[in-house]
Amino acid sequence: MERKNEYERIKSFFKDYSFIRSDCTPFLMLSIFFELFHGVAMMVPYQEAVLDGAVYLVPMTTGIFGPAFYLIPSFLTVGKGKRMKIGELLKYLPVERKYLKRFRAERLAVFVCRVFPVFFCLQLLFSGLYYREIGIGNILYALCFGLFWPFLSNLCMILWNGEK
Amino acid sequence: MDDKTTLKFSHVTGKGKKFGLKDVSFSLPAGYLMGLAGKNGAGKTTLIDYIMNPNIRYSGTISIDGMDIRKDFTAAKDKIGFVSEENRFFETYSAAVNAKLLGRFYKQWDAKLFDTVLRETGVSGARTVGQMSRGERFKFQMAFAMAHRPVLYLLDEATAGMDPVFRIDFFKMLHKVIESGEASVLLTSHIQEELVQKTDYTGILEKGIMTKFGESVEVWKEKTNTNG
Repeated sequence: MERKNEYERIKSFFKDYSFIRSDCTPFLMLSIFFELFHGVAMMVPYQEAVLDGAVYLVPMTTGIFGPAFYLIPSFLTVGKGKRMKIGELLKYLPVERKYLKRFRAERLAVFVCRVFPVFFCLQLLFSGLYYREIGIGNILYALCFGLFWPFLSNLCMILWNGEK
Repeated sequence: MDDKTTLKFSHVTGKGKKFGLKDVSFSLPAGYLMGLAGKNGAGKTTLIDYIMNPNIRYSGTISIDGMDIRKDFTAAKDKIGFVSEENRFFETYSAAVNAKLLGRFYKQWDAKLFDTVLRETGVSGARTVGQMSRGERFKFQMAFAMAHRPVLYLLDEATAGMDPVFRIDFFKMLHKVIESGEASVLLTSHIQEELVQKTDYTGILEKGIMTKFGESVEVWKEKTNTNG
């Protein structure tokens, strides 16, 4: 019971010291916007683009900016964590390291969830450049990963961290 | 000496190649103030580290309030109020937020006591830790320590750089802490005069060895006679 209380104390500590701060929400929203735009852009047949250059520019920019805005909140929060040196700080407190490690592992899993969609976005970027025609498979692919995955994973992370 | 011992080192010797303590033994009874003296590199901070860091390997025993700290480091740290030059708090947050975030880890944390002590010291709870002066930061750390009612206060070079006026208040604060007889203070310093006049017991470290330990007046008298 005492151990469970100790874990709950650490969890409540990290919840209060949230790694997803409300000031990161604009970046997350921008990220979602670019991902949606990217997904839609993937559905435009390349041969119907108004300008030849835009054919490649649209998916490229959204494919780059989407992940970039997605990662900025991660860097902001990880940066804060490094400045705080959580591990160093908590070693002076009556906290068993195994509970700290357990909770940090959970947070690492959350961080991975944020980075994982980036690779899908990059994959979309390259597939967009590779494919010259948009078929039903590409559309479904774009819809699934370009539109929904980043949005869903962002939402999951916000819910996980209990943003106020 | 009083029967109740707050801190006891019993033949503590560091293991491994890193610089460590060598057969250090002493007892600090409850309700007293002990100074730990020595030149830079003598092992003062190392001794503190042996108490606070569970990763350090050593032979012998270190007991706080009768309990070997290696049996339960978490319980041991719950009994220690640690004040040091290094910042161990969130610099971008205020004193009040730091207390709210970190006080929860202590079983006997008293938020009201923290507010009261901090107010008495004249430091605002809204003040950001990173913007505090040295004196303010010390007062905040002391208020934080007092609020969780430790049995042992560890002050690592807390007086370094203190002005003479604040030094008077500092020792008043320490004596207030120990006057109930429930807590003791271990203070490291390289200022000899301060330790002679203000502490009850003194230990002198040289290269990890406790060369002298006893009542402050006797220790310094003996040292003066030895040095001629």
